Amino acid sequence: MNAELLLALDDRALARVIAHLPAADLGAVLAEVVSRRTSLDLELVGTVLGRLPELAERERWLAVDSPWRGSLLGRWLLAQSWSGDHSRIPAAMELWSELVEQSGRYAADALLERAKVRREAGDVAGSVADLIACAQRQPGYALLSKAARLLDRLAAKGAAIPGRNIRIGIVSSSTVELTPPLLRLLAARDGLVAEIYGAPFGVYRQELMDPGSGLHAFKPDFIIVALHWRDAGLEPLGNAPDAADRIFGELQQLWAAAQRVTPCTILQHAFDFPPHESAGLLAAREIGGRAQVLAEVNLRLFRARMPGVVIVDCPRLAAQAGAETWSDDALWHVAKQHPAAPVLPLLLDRYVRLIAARVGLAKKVLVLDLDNTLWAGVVGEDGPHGIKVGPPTPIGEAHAALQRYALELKNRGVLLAVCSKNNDADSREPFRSTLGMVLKEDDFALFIANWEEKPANLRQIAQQLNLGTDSLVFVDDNPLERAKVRREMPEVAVVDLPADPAGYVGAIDRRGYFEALALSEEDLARNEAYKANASRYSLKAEAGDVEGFLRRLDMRMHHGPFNGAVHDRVVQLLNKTNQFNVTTRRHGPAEVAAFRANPAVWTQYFRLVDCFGDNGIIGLMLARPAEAADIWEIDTLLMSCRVLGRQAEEFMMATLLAAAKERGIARVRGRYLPTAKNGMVADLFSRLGFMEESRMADGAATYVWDVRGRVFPPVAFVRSAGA
Amino acid sequence: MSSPHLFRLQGIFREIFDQPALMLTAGLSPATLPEWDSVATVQLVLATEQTFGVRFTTNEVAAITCAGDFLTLLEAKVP
Repeated sequence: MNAELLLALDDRALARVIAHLPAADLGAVLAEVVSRRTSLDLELVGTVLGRLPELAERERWLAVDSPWRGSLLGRWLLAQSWSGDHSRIPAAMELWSELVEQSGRYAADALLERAKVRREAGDVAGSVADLIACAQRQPGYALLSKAARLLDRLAAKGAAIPGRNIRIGIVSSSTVELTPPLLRLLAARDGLVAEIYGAPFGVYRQELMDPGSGLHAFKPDFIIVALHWRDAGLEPLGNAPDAADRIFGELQQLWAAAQRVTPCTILQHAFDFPPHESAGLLAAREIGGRAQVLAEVNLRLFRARMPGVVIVDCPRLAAQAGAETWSDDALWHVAKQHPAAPVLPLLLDRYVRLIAARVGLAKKVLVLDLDNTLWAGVVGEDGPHGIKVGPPTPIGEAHAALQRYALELKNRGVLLAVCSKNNDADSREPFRSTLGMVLKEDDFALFIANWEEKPANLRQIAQQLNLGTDSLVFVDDNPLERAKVRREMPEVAVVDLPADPAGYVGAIDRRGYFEALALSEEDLARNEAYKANASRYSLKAEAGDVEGFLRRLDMRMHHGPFNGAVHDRVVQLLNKTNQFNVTTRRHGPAEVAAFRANPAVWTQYFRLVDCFGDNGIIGLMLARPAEAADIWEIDTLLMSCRVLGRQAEEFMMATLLAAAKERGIARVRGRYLPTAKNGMVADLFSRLGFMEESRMADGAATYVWDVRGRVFPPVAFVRSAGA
Repeated sequence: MSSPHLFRLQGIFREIFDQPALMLTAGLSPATLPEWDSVATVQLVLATEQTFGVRFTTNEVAAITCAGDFLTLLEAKVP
């Protein structure tokens, strides 16, 4: 057997040769090939592993000092063989850890293998962490489904998955069996522990309408209504002129019926389009044509902006995947599964991002590296005129496209930050003098260029913006920096940039990190607010004393009960405020609408205006009768951290207590429910003068204020300015 | 039973049924393996297609009754 000839074969061909070799030649061939092979291919690995039992002197090849250690292929073979051998599990672990770092496109596979070994070794938490890390690498359906099955098995044995609990019900006209394991894993990846109820397929109307259905008994926080084009029941041509009205109307009724029984958020699929259309273009051109009706229904779904209903943009996902990949006719006929298995990760990713946005886990900051990320080249070496960005070079255009995408995100309220290993002066120069730059220095809420390690700088960025590190998305062309951040800060979303900068925008966009359910005026004004904040802080430094600072701010508070104009912003704040939030109760749009309609519930929004401008709505309060009609409990008290230390919370409490007095309330109770993030308000009620009433072992506590016996002290520096 | 595909197919069965010591035989079927239900068949088909880079036709999938059927199909589709 000519070794050079074998090495010249591609991986698949070599696999075929090895599969068909006589056992007698196996030793000689593997001896030549394995340690000299420079590529890694898992089909080849599988074929070699399959023949190992026939290999003479197997023990020598699989020994701890095996010559196979010299190649990636060899290390993978050894790691896989050792994994099945209890006495060699530590050696296998070590090898898998190397392979996680070394094996490029197979890193996710290596993580799954390490998860299996850890499970064997009894390290359940490590196994769960590896599966989550595996899912973070965005593997395809096949690998993801393996990791998902393993996670389910670990969970069934009682493994703890970190994150917030949510309950998801799925109703669908197709099979739902393939979805729950994948959805649980993708949710876990994004900090959500999902319990899932899959309704029997095809009975989605009954499940939604019938108060006694399994779906309602499950009490879901979210219901996914996973419909597709077949469910619209349309003919290619000649559908009734009011077909779109009828379909949309029926959906509205289903939502209303379901939400009457279970207050929840509904994720409704917009309709995809049939992959084959006998009427061709006519289905779109003719009134009553199927494509035209479906497009009309979808437009209504998007325009309806129903409280508590989120639309999943399936046509866009189908376009992203390609219609031929989205639909698999054979899989439909065989298993009634739609869409096709390979696009399930794409679709379920979208569910998870929308749910994350709803429960306040949306990402908030895009952190960008500079050299070879925002521009091509190294500004410290090439100078501001040597780096490439924008025309005429194609590579410059690719980097400018990333800048434009970042600017668009910023314009809708996402914060931008720079995190670069550079001299500060060098790194700012391109923003001032390089032609073709799209972003300007003041597009960034924070600009950090120094020689510190990136994890330290990321913590710094989160702290300065008053956000958790889990709200950061980290974009850096350097795989080493990405690996470091991944290792030290698993909560940070790290974008796997491809080698070609033309793929940067796609890599960031694909995961939908910044998916939001509604756009508010505050989103559009946020960057201005953060910049104004910087000015406020410099005033604070100038003013020296706090009182002088507060006086000069000339603060005016507009406030009033929740109303239609502030509804979207109220829901948004309720669902994303984590820190200054005493109860962290997540009320959805439907619940907020119910509060507004209920005269026994007292609601109030607070909008702060000062000499630098409008801070927008910065606080919310919600109180309702407790065990007696003259006792109020504060259900919600939350505030934006950017107005901390400005007496806003005092003003809010004074407002609530005045309203209580006016309504003849005798006592007001405040409740603190501790979370990982709201430690800053642990002593808020005591600080405001409430008396402690009860305290639990976990730190939860209640406090009371005797409305008849006490008066809240006047708030010196904030004036009421009406609604 | 000997087939160059046996080992990798066995890996798929072991993973899907979570039985690391499962020995694949041609006669393995839903009758001998109680966990093998219709969902498992779909999972086996999807995993086999992906692992070996092949597609099974609607008829082929509908006719699968035992592990031997997978091996026969693979013999015909993979060189």
